[in-house]
Amino acid sequence: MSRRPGEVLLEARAITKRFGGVAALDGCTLAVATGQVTGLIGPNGSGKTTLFNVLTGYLAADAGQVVVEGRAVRRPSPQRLYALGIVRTFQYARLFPDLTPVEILALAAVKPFVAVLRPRVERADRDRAMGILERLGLLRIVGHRAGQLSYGQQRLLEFGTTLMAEPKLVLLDEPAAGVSPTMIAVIEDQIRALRAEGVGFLLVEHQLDLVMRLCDSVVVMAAGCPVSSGTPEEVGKDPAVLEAYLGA
Amino acid sequence: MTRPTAWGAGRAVVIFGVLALLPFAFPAAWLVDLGFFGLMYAGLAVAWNLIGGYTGYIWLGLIGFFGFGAYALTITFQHTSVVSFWAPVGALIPIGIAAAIVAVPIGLVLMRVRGATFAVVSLSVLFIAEICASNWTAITNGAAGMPAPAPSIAAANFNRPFYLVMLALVALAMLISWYMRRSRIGLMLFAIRGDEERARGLGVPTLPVKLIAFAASCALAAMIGAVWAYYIGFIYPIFSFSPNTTFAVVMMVYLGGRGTLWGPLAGGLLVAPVQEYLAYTFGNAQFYLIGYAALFLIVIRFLPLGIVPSIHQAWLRRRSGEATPAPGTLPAT
Amino acid sequence: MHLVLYGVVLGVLIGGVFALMSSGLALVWGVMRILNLAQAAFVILGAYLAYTANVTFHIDPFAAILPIAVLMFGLGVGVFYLFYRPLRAERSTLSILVSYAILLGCVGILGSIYSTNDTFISPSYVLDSWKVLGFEVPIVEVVGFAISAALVGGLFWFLSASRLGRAIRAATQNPAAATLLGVRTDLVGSLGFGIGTATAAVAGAIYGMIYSFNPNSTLDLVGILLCIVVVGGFGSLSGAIVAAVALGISSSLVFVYQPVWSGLGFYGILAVMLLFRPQGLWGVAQWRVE
Repeated sequence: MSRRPGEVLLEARAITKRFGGVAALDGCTLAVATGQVTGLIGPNGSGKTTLFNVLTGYLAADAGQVVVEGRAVRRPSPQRLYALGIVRTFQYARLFPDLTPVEILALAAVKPFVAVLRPRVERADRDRAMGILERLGLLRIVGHRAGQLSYGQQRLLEFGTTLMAEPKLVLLDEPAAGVSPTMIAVIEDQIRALRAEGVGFLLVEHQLDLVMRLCDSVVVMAAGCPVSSGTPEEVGKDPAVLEAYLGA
Repeated sequence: MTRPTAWGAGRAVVIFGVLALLPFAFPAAWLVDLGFFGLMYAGLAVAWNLIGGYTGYIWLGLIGFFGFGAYALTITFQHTSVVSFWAPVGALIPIGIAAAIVAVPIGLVLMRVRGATFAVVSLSVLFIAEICASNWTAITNGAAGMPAPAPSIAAANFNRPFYLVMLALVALAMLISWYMRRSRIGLMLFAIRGDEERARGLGVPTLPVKLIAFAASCALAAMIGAVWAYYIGFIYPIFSFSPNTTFAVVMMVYLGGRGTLWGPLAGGLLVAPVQEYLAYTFGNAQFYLIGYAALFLIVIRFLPLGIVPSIHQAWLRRRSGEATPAPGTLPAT
Repeated sequence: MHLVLYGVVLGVLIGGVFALMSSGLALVWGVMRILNLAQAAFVILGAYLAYTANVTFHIDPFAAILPIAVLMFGLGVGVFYLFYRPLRAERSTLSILVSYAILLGCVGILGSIYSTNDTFISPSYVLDSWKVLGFEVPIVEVVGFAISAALVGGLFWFLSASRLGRAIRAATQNPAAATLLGVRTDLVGSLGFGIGTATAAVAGAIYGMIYSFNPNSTLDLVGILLCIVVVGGFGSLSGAIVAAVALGISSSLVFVYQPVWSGLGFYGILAVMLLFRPQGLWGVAQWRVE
């Protein structure tokens, strides 16, 4: 599980994605390393979400490659990338309303296809799921269904699914949006703990203070490709960033 | 969530035991006939529920496979004189397998779309099947229909064996439905029903698991259709591929409780015998349609969850002595 | 070649009538996210109303179109408030089943009033024809096409130019925002539903002069209308019109060469569409990430 931090795990190579005539991504190249939290910031419409969706296989790129550990992924799909250890969360919180937290976590466990015939929640998965719920302070919601949980609880539970998958890289889409400060603190602690184990993170976030606290490096997107990257301090001083946000 | 298995298995044994004894306790031919149709619709409802209930896809082509099974059996035994009652029964398994194989490419095309489009396109499966059966006269004899194999059985209690074969199919359907629920595939199907995009994001192999449920649903419908053809003795395209049957099955699942294990069975066993009884008594297909439409509109309006979940909730409420927490009432942390 | 051209002409004419039928379906889906399978029943109901007007009251079927439209508009509004407005959760999927129930109920009611035998509307000129581009074309088809084209054009004008039409389109594109801006979505929805029902019935009156029909024709029509909206792209009016005309032409061509299998022509196009462009001609993908 543990690997040298800084090793490049996931790369976007010259990715272009158009919607109608508009290029949401325009030859976008980006590398995400293990054991680091990489922040992805930029004004609305700069292509962050599109890049997320291409990197996780939800959108097919018009040109360019998604590369995992040096190998280009043929016809990327969410399932294929998940099996490669690349998992994501969504901007919206609504989880499977009919399922219980333990079931949702068990669903996230990586298993071979034949396991579909195994019991719904295996004992080992249940134990791991309970452990994760405990770490996230969610033990008291075990008996509920996801549809009954608060927004923050659902977001925290969703974050829990990424723990269950034993990922190499986690892509977080605005994890702090609509979440109370206490829960943000829980998520932050978990991210730090996983980073220490060598897991990489790519974080899209609008709360810049969180980005500054957490990220080892920051990439700034504008008009479909990165315009600046470096440590949070460096990026903060880069005039190109200000220009991107203010719109030259 | 998980109840003791012994209690569940015991309940299943009792229910199916009672159903098996019914034709011996009430041997009158018309009663066994009502029972046969009750089981037939119950089995179709359970098969429909595998897709419509578990994955939430409104699957309106199921009766296309019912008719496929009916024609498969009839065509297979077209030129053979059937001596034993059991020969056509033995063909059920191959017919089920054939239906599952046919279902895979159809499912691959259908599963490219979701939601309302899926409902619409799946309904066209039924219409296409009907057009084929009506027009491919060389094989199906077209609208004039075909005689099904006619076995030589004693005239007394002649329909009891059919009833028992149908009961066995219903038991098989329930077994598949139960097994899917309690295994990981059921968890995945429920996740797909909740949010298919998110399920993909959790690595759920959505297409293969949907196809498995789809093939199982189609295979069960085809076997039930084959027994139906065998029982009624003569099949026509319009009755084999009837939109009315499709609708009746969907209605029964909604009435009983979609997505539940016992709901579809209960819906089928409750409604179908009443429907057949009324059809015998009044014999007017028009009133039958009007009655069905009215019943469904009432169910959707006043019992949207279905009978089984409503009873279950009432029971839970009674046991805990208070209302179950409604969604969104939990305090935020 | 001559035969092919003739097929195309007849296909365009009948395609126009199908376009009128399916425009209401597309409109109602677009506005309310209701898939109204009962549209097919409203078509046949319109045909029977024209039949009754002609046989019992000796009114010319084309003249009967206006009262039928008014009557069916009222019926549509009533049906909307009675059956569709209560649907909140899962409206689009439940509407399919509810509308199917209404459809079967209509088939049953029509069957018990009119019997299930084939019938057709036969004004005195039903067999007359005009020469159009050198082809003998039945008068009813030409006039029916003209009326359909005028109504579909009128619908376009209404949606793009009138105040109510703009409210309907606003409710289509963003129901929540429309509500905030003071558009009463239920009222707008019921009016849209009424318009859809009325156009279906008018198309039915024309249909009944071209084809024979019985209550069960509803079920054939459902398949055709659904093919049209899927191929056109759900909720897209222009897509539905193009698909209707294309399907009209293709089925009349298939009919020229292969009458037995003409019914499958629609579904063949549907299958090809699903394989290569599942969102339909004009449609957008029905699900999105985020």
